[in-house]
Amino acid sequence: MNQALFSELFGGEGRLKALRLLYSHPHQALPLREFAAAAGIDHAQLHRLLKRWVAVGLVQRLPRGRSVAYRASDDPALRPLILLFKQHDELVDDIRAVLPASTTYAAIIGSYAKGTESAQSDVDVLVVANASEIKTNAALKPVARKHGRAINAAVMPAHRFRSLVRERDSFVLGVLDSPRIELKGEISDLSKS
Amino acid sequence: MTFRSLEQLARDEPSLVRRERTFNKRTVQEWLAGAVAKLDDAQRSANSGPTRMDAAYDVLLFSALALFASGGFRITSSPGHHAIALEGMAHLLNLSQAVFDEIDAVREWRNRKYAGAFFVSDEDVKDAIDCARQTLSRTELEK
Repeated sequence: MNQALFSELFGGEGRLKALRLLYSHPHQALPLREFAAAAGIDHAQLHRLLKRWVAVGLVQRLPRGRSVAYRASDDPALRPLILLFKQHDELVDDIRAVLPASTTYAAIIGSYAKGTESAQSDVDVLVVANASEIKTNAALKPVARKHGRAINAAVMPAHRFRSLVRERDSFVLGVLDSPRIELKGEISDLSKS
Repeated sequence: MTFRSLEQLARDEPSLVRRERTFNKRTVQEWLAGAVAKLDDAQRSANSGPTRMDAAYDVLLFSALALFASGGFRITSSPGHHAIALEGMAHLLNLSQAVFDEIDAVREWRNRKYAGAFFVSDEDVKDAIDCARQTLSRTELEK
């Protein structure tokens, strides 16, 4: 992630850290103290930001007994924020870095891309390349160890992807119809033979 | 990641790894002969891709079982025994993490077939056979 660019875009480093934490893990609700520690920003600054963000609908405030937790808004209009932050997540960058050289298209698919994953969920990756699935998955294992979650890549050449689209294969149609975190290339280019 | 020794695996996973009372040389030879036969099956281009992949994986597993038998241990059929067998083999053959990752990727490929993964690329078959051949060679040198 280009930290300087994103800090400028979101109005400062603190705001960027808080929004990234919220929208990279949209189903995670955090109490203020834990949130400040995880984002690495000042408690009072975060409190001020959250107050404003709750008021405009950027963040949900969830009362929990005597305490309160905060979570990203589930407003569908804000979904692009989830994709934007996940696109520049460290895990995503690490996966992108070990893709086979012949990759023409790659994306994270499944629950991680949909934002419905739990901390233990596998990360599913589609890789369109003239490469071995075994070597690709072996290369992903250090990334999986670093981030503490399993990563599974389905690897296929472009001609096979196109033939599965023609056959209306359920896996490929699911990929086309569901949110994806793009790692390389454009999926629309795959239909061009 | 440090690969656990067979003694450690027997302590950590008693339902999966058992110490044998006696060392049986014939068992070791049978597993190795089985691994050699499976490597032939994997290399036979007349066989289908999934069959060749399965055979290549069996080379890895049989090599592991030969090594366990040689060390006076055996693996049970309880869930998780394949991963444990490969870990013990990695320890005995002093495999690097990168080599083990490739072996483990072959194991995972085999597991995915139960989810309907019938497509096998030529690259996958070649990599699985290379992995199997190298592992069997290391196992034979170790014995």
